[in-house]
Amino acid sequence: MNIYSSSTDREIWRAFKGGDDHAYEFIYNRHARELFSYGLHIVRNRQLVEDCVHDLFVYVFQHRATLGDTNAIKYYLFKSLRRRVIEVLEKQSKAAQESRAVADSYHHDELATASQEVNMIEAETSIAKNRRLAEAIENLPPRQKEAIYLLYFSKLEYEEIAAIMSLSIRTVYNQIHTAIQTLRRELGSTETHRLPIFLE
Amino acid sequence: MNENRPTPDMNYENYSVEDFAADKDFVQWVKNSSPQQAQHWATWLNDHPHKRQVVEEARALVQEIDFNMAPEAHAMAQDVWERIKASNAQTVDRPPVPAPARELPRRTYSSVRWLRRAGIVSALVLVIAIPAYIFLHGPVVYETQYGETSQIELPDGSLVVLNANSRLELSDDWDSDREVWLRGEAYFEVRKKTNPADVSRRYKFTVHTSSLDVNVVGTEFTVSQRDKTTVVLNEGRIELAVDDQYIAMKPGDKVEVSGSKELRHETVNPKVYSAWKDHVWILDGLTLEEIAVRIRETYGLQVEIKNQPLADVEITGVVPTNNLETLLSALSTVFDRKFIRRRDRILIE
Repeated sequence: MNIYSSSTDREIWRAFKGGDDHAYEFIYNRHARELFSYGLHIVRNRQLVEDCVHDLFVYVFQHRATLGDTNAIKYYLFKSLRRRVIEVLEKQSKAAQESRAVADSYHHDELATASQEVNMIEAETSIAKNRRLAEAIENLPPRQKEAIYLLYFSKLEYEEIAAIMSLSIRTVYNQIHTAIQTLRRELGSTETHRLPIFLE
Repeated sequence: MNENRPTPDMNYENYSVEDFAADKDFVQWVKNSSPQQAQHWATWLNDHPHKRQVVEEARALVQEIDFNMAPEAHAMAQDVWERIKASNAQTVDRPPVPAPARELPRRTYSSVRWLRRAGIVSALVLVIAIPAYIFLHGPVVYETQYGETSQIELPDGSLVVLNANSRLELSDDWDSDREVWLRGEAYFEVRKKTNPADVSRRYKFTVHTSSLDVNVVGTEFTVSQRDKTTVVLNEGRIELAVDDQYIAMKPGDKVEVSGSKELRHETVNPKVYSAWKDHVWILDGLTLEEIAVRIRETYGLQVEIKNQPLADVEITGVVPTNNLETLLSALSTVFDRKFIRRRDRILIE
């Protein structure tokens, strides 16, 4: 359907850097929805996420001649988007002179909670089939929630998730492992569930 | 890393439910299994029947933990794409600079006012005949089209007026030494900037042109340029570095550097060379040839002088450059010749 459908990321990126507008549009169309989903997953503010994605794509367009090569466009976009979102949140929190800075609170795994207070919740981004599990996912610490989201939904590699979140691979793995333990416990305590209780 | 993502045959033996559910390949298999992956796991389970129960539970768990695409993602993608296209079109057609009236509401850009401001060096860097130049740094680019000037406030508070058909690229770091890349022509008003930790240390301001740099430290300015470059200093003190040669410039000095490094140093009325930023041309001392060059550079039009005057007449006067029609009509009056526009060229008869 598209001339780039069977191209590698490196080829598509090179074409885009060489001035090919179709490659640019292809990159957007392939990744935009996942980027918005991910953006909303880390901060539930539609306007903020839209602005960040807009700025990111305008930036790469303006600087395409000088951008480096990549064979992992999705990873590059996710990482850039996250950095922009965090920057905006940090600026906002500075501007508001909140005693409890959003940026700081993020590092205490409270980003989503803090931003929920100031921003409209527009979307439920994680909907599990099991409502109890869905609640458990929502209640995970943001970092665990983000890590498992990137592994399960965005299907990124551990190395990429670690780089995106500025954590070590081991830490990411531990976050996901802990999250799964929590979720499994939640599922296990659902009496209607068919899962056998099984421990090694 | 290997301990996180072991090769199946080696370590899956000891995996718990959580271990499986945290394994990228396992998740991949459950979420969207390819035939090869399905085959691989079927084989593995056959060989490890005692792990079947663990694998089944992990598989059910991974299936349950499901994230959906945000429902509004599709609409957002469509809306934002329209915005991106509009923004990109703007950076191609026009500089990403707000109109002067909005950006700098109370600035009149009268030269006199500029010169009175303390701690400011003003200089005109006029770059003529620049070869194609690749800008290597900086995230922000300002560009002007033919017939358009643009006033830019830099992140450090310095001001630049970019003449027509020019391009200025900014460095992405404005916390220490400052750098811009210029192609075309611009008027600079550079603010002093000192290191907050050490006030004796001033941050440099550098204007890079196609092959050389202009360094400004506080009230000092250094311009360097190969090919043909003209530097006119309005106020302050600057130094041009041409290879190893340094030329100190005083206000009113004009230095022209040609490709062969030939220098021409003369004293001029600097306002003549910076008047364009106030949307006028001061014609004092300009020849018809020089006017022709200016029209070509500013409006992108070829200029043909039909009959050379017998002798260069000293012309004085100020003509507005707000629009080409007015300019041509004013020039016709001042030079007492006809300036006729024919599509993309101007005939002077």
